[in-house]
Amino acid sequence: MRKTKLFLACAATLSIMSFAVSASAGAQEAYQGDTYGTEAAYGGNTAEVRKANIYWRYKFKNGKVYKRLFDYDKNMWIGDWILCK
Amino acid sequence: MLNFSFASVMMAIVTSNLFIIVLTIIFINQSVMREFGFSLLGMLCTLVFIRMLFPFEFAHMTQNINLPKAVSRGLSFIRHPRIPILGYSCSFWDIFVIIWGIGFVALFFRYISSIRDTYNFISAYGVDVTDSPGYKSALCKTDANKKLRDKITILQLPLIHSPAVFRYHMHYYILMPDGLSMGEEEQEFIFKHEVSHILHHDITLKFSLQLICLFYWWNPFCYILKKRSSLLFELRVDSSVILQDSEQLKKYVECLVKVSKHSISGNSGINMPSAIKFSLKMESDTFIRVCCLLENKKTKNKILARIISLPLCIIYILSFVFIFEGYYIGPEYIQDNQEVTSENTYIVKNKDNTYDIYFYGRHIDTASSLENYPDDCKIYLSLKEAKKNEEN
Repeated sequence: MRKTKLFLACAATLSIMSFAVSASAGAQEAYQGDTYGTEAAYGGNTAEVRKANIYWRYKFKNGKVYKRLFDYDKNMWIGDWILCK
Repeated sequence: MLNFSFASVMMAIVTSNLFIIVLTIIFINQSVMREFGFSLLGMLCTLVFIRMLFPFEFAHMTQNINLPKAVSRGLSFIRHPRIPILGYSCSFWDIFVIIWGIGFVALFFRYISSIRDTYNFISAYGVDVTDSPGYKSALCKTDANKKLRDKITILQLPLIHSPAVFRYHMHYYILMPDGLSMGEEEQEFIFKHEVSHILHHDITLKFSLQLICLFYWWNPFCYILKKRSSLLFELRVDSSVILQDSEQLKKYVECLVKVSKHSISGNSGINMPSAIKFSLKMESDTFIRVCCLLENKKTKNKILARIISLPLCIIYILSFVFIFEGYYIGPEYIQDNQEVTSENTYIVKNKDNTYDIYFYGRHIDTASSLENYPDDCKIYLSLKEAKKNEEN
């Protein structure tokens, strides 16, 4: 019985901790808007929202270089072509 | 450092449902379920709960693996926003999540209201018989200590066909059907049985399992698991109530058959999904319980239990270590542009903490961060160093 209580207490603590972390990560996601992957700079949070598989693609047109983000997870462009400096 | 992404949430969902499916398949085997089903069920509920609340990946420990092209393509198909709804472009996945959320909230509130309705019903129609001499002495003969006995109220109720135990605000109610006449010994068996449910925390476990099944309401295995678990709770309590005395065993079986007959032949009574009933509604379940009691097999095969639980624990740990995600680009997107890879790109870090991007050896861009560039691109501290290494 004591073992069960100890196990349940550990599970409950872990669950509450993880819930707090997920809540802070959710809040961070809402706070950051479109900016992903930036570490939380407030409150010492250690959870980060990672937007998976979004990478730049480049194109050369009329001697100029353009870049655009592509979401490989959703198979879609994000934003417009940006002229590189 | 914890990371949170669609892929990590997906892994949590897949792992939880894999556990539910594996346990349901294990529970199809009657003897396996009887021998260590309860431990496995307890373990599953705990692991699934933690995984549901912990849909993360560890930044330095987790390895992200791209799914094969065909799977990625399928995944991107369901995640690609293509359906216009109220001015927004939604994907099939978004619609599924909305339906999932609505379904969960609706079922959750229905379940919570069924608990409240049951309490209202027993408060309105239940006759408190806790202090009647017969019931009081029967309750005293159970394993319940004084503290627990003070938390138990015995109620006699119409419209129920089987004894049951119900919890509301940490107070227990043993519900007795008023149309079922029972002898002193039968009452004793029933109270021992219901108190055993309380002592084994079956109500908490049933509630946890119910929450998991409500959350994954779209998984048909949840319904089978819930049904099998109800039988498991009864099997475990049956074996804990009965000692080795064969005479007592015979009387307990007779009591079980009598209550089951009453329960099955009775008209449809009030539905109490949150209560644990002494007799299940199915004749086959009673038959299984009687067979198990007569077999009276007590030994537990611990090696087999470990063989079954070990792969589940390994899968659980691996679900944090490996995160699978889609990586697909349709042919319509690759006509006039190129992908950045570690083969065609290297990066030079500047003194002002910006990064010069070199694409096929040509400086094409200066970026303020390396976000959205592949992690395996080489980073040099000077152009001289970069040219020297790249030429080699």
